[in-house]
This record gives sequence, C-alpha cells and structure tokens, in this order.
Amino acid sequence: MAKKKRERIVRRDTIQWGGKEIEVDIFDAKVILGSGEELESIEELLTEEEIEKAIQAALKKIEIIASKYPDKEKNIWYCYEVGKVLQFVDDKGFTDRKGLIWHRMAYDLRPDLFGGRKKNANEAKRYPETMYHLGKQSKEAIKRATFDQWYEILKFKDVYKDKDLLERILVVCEQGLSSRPLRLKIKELRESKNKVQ
Amino acid sequence: MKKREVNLERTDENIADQYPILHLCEGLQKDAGQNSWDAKATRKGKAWKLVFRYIPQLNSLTIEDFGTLGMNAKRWKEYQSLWDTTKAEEPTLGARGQGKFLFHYFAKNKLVLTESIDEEKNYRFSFGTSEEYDDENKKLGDFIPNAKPLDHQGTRIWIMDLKQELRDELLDYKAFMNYVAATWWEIIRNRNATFIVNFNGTDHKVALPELPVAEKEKVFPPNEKIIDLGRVKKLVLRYCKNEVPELLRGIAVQRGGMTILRLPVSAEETIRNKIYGYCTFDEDLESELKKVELPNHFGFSPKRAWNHTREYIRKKSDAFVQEVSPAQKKREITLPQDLIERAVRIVNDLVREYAPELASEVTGPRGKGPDNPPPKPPKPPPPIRIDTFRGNARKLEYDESLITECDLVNDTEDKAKISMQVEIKHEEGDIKFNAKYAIELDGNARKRIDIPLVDFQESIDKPGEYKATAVLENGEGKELHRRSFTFYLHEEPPPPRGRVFLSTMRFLYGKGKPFERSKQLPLTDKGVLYIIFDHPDLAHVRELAGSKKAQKHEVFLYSIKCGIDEAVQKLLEFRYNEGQLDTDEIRVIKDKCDAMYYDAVLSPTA
Repeated sequence: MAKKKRERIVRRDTIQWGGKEIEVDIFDAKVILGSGEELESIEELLTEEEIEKAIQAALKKIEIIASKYPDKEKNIWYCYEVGKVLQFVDDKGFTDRKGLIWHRMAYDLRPDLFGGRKKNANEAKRYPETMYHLGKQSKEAIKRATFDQWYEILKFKDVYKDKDLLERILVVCEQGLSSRPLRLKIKELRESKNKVQ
Repeated sequence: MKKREVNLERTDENIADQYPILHLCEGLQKDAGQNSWDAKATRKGKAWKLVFRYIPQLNSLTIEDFGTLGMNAKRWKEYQSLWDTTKAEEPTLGARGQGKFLFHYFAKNKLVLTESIDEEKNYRFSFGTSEEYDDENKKLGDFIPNAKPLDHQGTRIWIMDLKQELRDELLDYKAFMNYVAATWWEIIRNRNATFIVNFNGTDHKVALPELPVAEKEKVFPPNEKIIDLGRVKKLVLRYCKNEVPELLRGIAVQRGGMTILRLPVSAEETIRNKIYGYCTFDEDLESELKKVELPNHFGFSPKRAWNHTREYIRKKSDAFVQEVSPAQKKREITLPQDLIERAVRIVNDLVREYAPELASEVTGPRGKGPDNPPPKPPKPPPPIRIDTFRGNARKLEYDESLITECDLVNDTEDKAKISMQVEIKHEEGDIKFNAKYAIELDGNARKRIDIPLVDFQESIDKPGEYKATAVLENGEGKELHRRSFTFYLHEEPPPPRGRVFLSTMRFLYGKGKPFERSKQLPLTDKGVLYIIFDHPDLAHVRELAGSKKAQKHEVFLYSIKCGIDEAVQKLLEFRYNEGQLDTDEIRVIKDKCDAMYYDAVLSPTA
C-alpha cells in the first residue's frame, strides 16, 4: 500500500540563532539536496505559502467580526460568523489540512480570536473546529441551541449531516438539556435511529 | 487504441514557461524572425523584410514580413498546428512548430489574427487562440473595422490586445531592437536583411550592433572537423579595448543566420567583458546541432553534437584568453557547464572540490550507517597535486559525453616533470578510457589538462556506475596525488553519501525578526540552511515568475544561490583563517560563484 504523504503547513517553532533560541514561523517543507525530490519539495513549499496567505486573509476577516462582538467567549453568533469565514478550507481545497490550519490559527497566531490561549495545540484546535461546523448550519438551527449545547452536538462526528436526527437533538436542546445528559441523549437518539435503519 | 484527449488551453503558457524568465520579448522576436526567415522567397533572402509594429488604438502588435513565400495550403495547415511539422528534417530554422504559440501568450485573450498571401496570390485569413482557430467564417474587418487586408505576398500576424505586463516591456523599442540586432546580426550584415521596429509611430531600422574597436582579432583556420559531425566554417574571436555591451559578450553560436546563444569565455571578469566573437558551421554540423537545439532557440541539450562543438569553442577561446591576458593573469578560471540538475549538488560539489575541510559531519539523505564512517581530519594538500578533477554530470545518457575538467597545481618553486594516468572504468572492470600524459609543470603554476570528451553509445557501453581516476606520479614513478569521481550511465545515481556541506534547505518568515534583512541564516551544525521566505528579493523573484511552474524553478534557483553564497562565505572565512586569502584568491572564488549563477540561470529547465 502506498504510504500516505504527510500534510504540511507553516508552523511556529524555535531555532538557534546567534546563540539564542528564537521563535519563528517556519515552513514544513524541506528541500533535501540529493533526495531527487527537490522540485516536489518546492512545490509543497508554494502550497504551504498559499495556505498561509489564505489563513492571513481569513484572520483579517475574523478580526473585523471580532470587533463587533466585545464578548466573544462562547458567543454563538460570533462563532457562527467566524465559522462562515472558516469555510475557506473547503472552498480552497484545504480540507485535508484543516486540523493543521486550526492549529496555526488558534494556537500559533491568534488564540484570542478562538477562545483564548490553550494548554496544548490539540485543545486549541477544538474551538475553530466547532466554529467551522457551526458555519455549516442554518441560522434557524443555530438559534435553537446555546454554544455549549452545540459544542456537545458537534462532538459527534457528522451527526449534524443527518437532518432528521439533528432536528430531534435540537428539540431536546430547546427543552434545556445540556452537558453530560445531552451527550447521553444524543447517543441514545443516534442508536435508536441506527436500529430503525 | 483510443485517441488521447488534449487540453490545449494552457499550451501558450506552457510554451512561454520554456523561455528564460525576463526573456519573453527576446523569444518573441527570435520566433518571429525564424518563422519569417524560413519562409524567405529566395535562397539569399533578397528583399526580405520583417516589420514589428505596435498599434496603440488597438493595443496590438503586428508582425509583417516581405520577400517571403507566404503560406500556401500546405504551409497554412502546418502553421495552424502545434508540434506537427516536418521542419526538424529540413534545413530551416524552426523545428517544433511551437514558437508561434508564444504569440498567443502575449495577447490578453490569446487572440491572434493571421493573414497570408502565397505565390499564387491566394489570400488566407484566420483567427484563433492557442486552443482553436477558424479560417472560414470571419474576415479581418470583423475584428478591426476599416483595416486594410494584407496586399502583398507574405504574412502578417496580429497579436490582439497585449497583456499589460508584457506590453510595457515590449514597447521599450530600443531594448527590442538590441535583441533583434544581437540575434540577427549575421543576416543583417551578410544578406542585407531588414528589420523594422515601429512601436512609437516611427519606423526604426535595426542596424548592426555597435561594438568597440578590437585590439586583437583571431580567425581560426576554417573547416576544422568536429569528430564525425561536420566542420566549423568560421570561428572569430576579438578582444576589445573597451567593454563589449553585455548582450554581445561571449562567442555567438550561429545557426542559419540566427544567434542561438553566446558562450561566455573562461576568464576573469575584466578580460571576459572585453571579448566577443562568433562561430559558424557547415551544413552537416548545423543539421546535427539543430537536432539538439532547445525548442525555444536559446540553447542546446547537452548531447554529443553540442558537447563536442562547445568543447572545440572552449579550447580555442581558452587559448585566445591566454594570449590576451597579461602574463600575471594567466591563472585559469574554470567554468562549469552544468545544467540545473547538477545545480542541486553544486553547493556540496564546490565545497568538496575547494574546501573539503568545510564539510560538516552531516550525512547525505541516505543517513548514517556503516557506509558513513566518521570523517577523518583533513590532510594538507600535496604541493604538486590534481587540483580539479571532475565530470560534467553525475548522470549521463547514451549519446551524451563526459567532459572532464582537470587542473594541476605546482605550489613549489621548481619546475616539475610529472606524468598523469587517467582511467575511466565500468564497475564490472571494463576500461572505457585510458591515457597517460607527460607533463612539465612550472613552479608556482597551474595548468589545465585537456582530457578528450568521452562519448557513450548504447551498442558499446554498459549502463551503470563508472569511476574516473587520475593518478599523478613523479619521474621515479612515485605516486604524488590521486583524485577520482564517479558517474552513472543510463542509470539513476544513488543519493550522495558521506559528508556534505549542506544537507537541507528550509524556509521561514523573517518579518519582525532580528534577521529580517538577511537572505539566509548561517548554516547550522547539521547542515541546514534557513532561507528567509519573505525577503524582498525572493518575494520579487516569485512575483516575476508568474505561473506556479516558473515559480517553482525560480525558488529552486534562488535557494541554490543562497547555498552558493553560504559556501562562498565559509570558503572566504576558511581561506582567511588559513592566511591564504589574497586578491587573486578572492577573485577566483568570486568568479566561481558568478559562473555557477550564470549556468543555473541560463539552464533550459530553469
């Protein structure tokens, strides 16, 4: 089986310079002389640049959105609007690198726009991931649940794609169910749906 | 068998990519000139004229020829096709039938109109893009109301609505005329060919290029044979009192009246800039060279015909340089003729060649292992030694030649009588080449040894690894020094092993960092070179490149240049620490660096 190529992106790292450690934004692509893949690596480098440009452009748009929401923390409409911007990953064909893109945006560059600084990159990625999925919902659906409720819903992969199931979950949300009880209810609804099928 | 689907939409861009960046206008006049000169009505090109005219109201360029055959039905069909030509077999200039697609690249909407009148006064008109054309349903007036159709035998091409970025460059009519003069001087001089450039409402006739007065001229005996390929008709070299304009420096290699390229001479800059010349060939050799000419007419593939021709010119020009150089300046500067594939190894080669002491303990892509023992401390070089011994490529194909550079150095005060055995051997033991040279080497001198080109043929030579070894002996048969290199015939060479100076290149953003203004950071202990990706110079390079394909090559070249800069920097430091850095040494290192830049930039794949 052919080995899957690792996806790459610009990331923050430290290098040694003048005897000091210095933080830099570095491309993942490496040109290894004599590897026979020098030009492919440069092609990868240019793709990384393209992604970086798209990220910077998206951050500019998000900054404007952020200025409209002084209270951004768990603000569902802020997250929804940002989620719309984050659809660029699909529009530009970067879906397979979205995890890395969230890392770059929410951990390296602007954690303040994505729920604040997190302890590690994996944790930081969840916030933009939620926003991204929120951006795929209709406004009508969004207003039927709070941020925390949506956060729970979106922990279940692809659950929102099943319109019927989502409708039933949103009804439950409207009844005020949240956190663990909501999670259990979603599991139950999903299993019962599977059984029917 | 099913016919493959072909998407021609980007043909013009792909073809434009084959031209050296920043040389598109030069390419345009070359292709227009060669198409038209190929179509001359008489053998000597009587009353032949080519007119380039810019029409501001239409933002269009017309290219109109006179004294040509025009296109009859057969030529019309060939003209409208891509890569479908029999010209490669004919003694004409064009070979691939693709150059005209460059015209489409210059037009914003790729629209090109063509009119032609043949010997029987048949008028033909077509309009089209790189993808499609139509020569039945419309006429010139449908595109340009009130335009007068072509009224003489010949052809007129309309490049409609020029792209702005190319138009600005194109309309520098003086530069354009210089390109024409530098390319077509031979037919302007010998055949009275007329080129008119009218980009500002005035006809400007292209005159012969202005050259400084020659202080020394050498005309080499005509009809010298280049192995079994043909003969050199004329080789003329001139050394001028003043510098020659940049466009005309070097030796013009002519084919069918067109300058294909100018070979730089191997000399220090002050001498190199004052030399120009040209070389013409008989029909046989022209035909051989045509087969290996690049489709963009800017150079040749490194095949047998070109390798031997180039080698002939190089030897003659080296001798000429020796004649015109002041006595103390006779130290030769070698000029590698590598292609881009070799540029990958160029940095490491340079270091291995000139300062093996600089090679760090970093291993090549094969990684560490039993094959890569820890490096030994460097030995001081012997006073009488083989200073350079290397081939032109690590990989050769059949029909290509091995060109071996070999320089000896005598650092002692005394003249040395020595001998050198050179052997090229296949890994299975077959000897490909074996020669012994008796050499007299003056004290404190350097000498180039002319090792003949070695050709490889599929019917004779085995593919695989070959090793070239040179052994230097004194009069008593005692070995003084030994050098070798390995190359591969018709087989992919393995990645380099062992110590290398530079192993990896990485890219980072420098904005707001203390090294923001640097192009690269100093090489790390592990042989990693960090290149500043947002340095204005690299940003500019990418901006100019346009297409992604071109960008890729430009970024690659830029990276190689950064590597060369780093190696040169380290080499200078090293020589300084050794106390060996004098003006001559700085010049040698600088010229090496220039020569590598030159080859990398001119490379056809760049």
